[in-house]
Amino acid sequence: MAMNRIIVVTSGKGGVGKTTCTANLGMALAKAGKRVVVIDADFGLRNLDLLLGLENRIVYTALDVLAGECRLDQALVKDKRQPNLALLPAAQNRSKESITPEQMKKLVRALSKAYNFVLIDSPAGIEMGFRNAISAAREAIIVTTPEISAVRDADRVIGLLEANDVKAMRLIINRLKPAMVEAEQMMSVKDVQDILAVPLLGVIPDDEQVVVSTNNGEPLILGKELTKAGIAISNITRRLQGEKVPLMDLSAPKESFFKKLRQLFT
Amino acid sequence: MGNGNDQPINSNSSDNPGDIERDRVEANTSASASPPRKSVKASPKNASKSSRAALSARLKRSKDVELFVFDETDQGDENTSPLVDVSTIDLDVDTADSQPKQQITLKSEQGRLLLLLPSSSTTSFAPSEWEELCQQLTLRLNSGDRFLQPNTTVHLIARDRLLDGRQLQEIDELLSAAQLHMKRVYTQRRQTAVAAVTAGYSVEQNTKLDHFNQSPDAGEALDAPLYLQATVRSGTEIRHPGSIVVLGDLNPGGSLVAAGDIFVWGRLRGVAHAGSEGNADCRIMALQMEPTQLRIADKVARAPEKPPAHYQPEVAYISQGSIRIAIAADFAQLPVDTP
Repeated sequence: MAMNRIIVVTSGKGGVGKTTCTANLGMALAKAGKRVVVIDADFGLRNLDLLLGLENRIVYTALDVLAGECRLDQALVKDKRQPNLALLPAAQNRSKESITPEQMKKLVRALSKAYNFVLIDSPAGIEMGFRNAISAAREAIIVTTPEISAVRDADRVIGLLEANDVKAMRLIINRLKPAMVEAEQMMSVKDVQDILAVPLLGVIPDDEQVVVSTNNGEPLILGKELTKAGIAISNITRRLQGEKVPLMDLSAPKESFFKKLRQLFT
Repeated sequence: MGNGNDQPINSNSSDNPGDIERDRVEANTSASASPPRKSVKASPKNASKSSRAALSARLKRSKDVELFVFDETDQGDENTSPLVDVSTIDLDVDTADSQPKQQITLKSEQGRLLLLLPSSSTTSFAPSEWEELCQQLTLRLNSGDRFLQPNTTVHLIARDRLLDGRQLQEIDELLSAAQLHMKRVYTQRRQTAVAAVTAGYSVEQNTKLDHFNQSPDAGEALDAPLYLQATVRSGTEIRHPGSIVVLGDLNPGGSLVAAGDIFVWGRLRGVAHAGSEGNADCRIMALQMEPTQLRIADKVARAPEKPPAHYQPEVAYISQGSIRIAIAADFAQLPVDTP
């Protein structure tokens, strides 16, 4: 039996989908019967609660726990839709300096006793907030988009993770647009991997539905009919648990192009 | 309730807003509860253990994208401890330096303004604390500027905090921007006194300042209401040991914490906590009540799931042990609650 997993989700660059990935992975793992806690390590700019639709249920935050103002379990917000999932919210009104890596470690280590998976949503950047987020992690999921800047930042973060002894790293390439890759307008999965040289955990295609689910506080993975992005996340979750799942075929549907062309002429 | 215009909203005791579930975590003691991980290998060599360089080289040779799959040996640890009940976890936290966050206070006394720095266990300001303090002061000055008479004298009550010349100058600049003049500095610190004298302020050192120090045993009387003309944005928390009046909106992510009532002449969308010292008679009033959360004394409530068709001024108050919302126009006519 393996030990409980402590995974930080990080990227370096902001806006590549760390929080969305964390929310969806957490929800998917919980759906698969695992006990999961997601930790928002983005002190001062918390978002994870919004994506999970739990904002109005927050009473205490991680800082209140550390200040001894409440017990750990009081600060955990349980998801109504998925009782296996809990959220440890970050404080909104404090800076990232208000918590130390040691305190973070203490919280995470304690939670890992009660949950199969501890997912830590790292803030963007490589400053204090990032250092806090990775301090207790045993594994890391690097999220990047197929863009030069995101890949560059991801590469820097991978170096920092290695230096901090987080060696088990996996890569998620988010927001891939297959049509653009085919037209050689966007970096391909292979291009990204050539640079980062981190084992691939999965590729998530660009999906407008993500915006909708973000705004509704309903993770994509809860949808009745999964979109391609939803399937990708569900595959990633299975891989995380050790299943061998082949990469989804993301090649752009060609016939639709001809259909469009035909429509132009009729 | 009287005329039926008040709508009950989800509310409960302080660690349980509405129908939030806080069931105990089941202790998962059986190993079979978590299905054994399938041992599937993606590649003959364990990718996570090979160095990045080796992997990189391998990637360059292989044309296909390599997919990583976890397997049991990855975890490499023989830790087999079963899950424990999270409510049994007792974090041994050091509460010594984590007092509730104090804020700066600006109050008038006999025609002067007193600027009180928050007291703390540490005498010197950490950079982040100082930055926060300056932001607070700016917000207070900007949001009350209609009442600040130009050329009012300000006395700085520094208590036992250490301030250097640069910090004094920063405060002075913020005050000057609001056309206020810092004249006198009260301090218990020699170092601060020297810095203040050097900068040309008159200084009173070593005064006990008992009436400035709001020690917990100083009494329960509330401060004068804090009046703010501002939008309280996400990440801003305003605490006041009295009532708070906001002429503007309270945005989601922002919070107001008042020992007395909270009155928002605008849209209340963030978190409002009235009666924070425990007074359950306190109320929260807003022109448009669409809160993330309302708290009165030790009660917490979320807004009703379905927003009303159109908003009108409302009052939140505690009745029969839970927070209720009534239309403001009818609230005055409600019969007085019997406890």
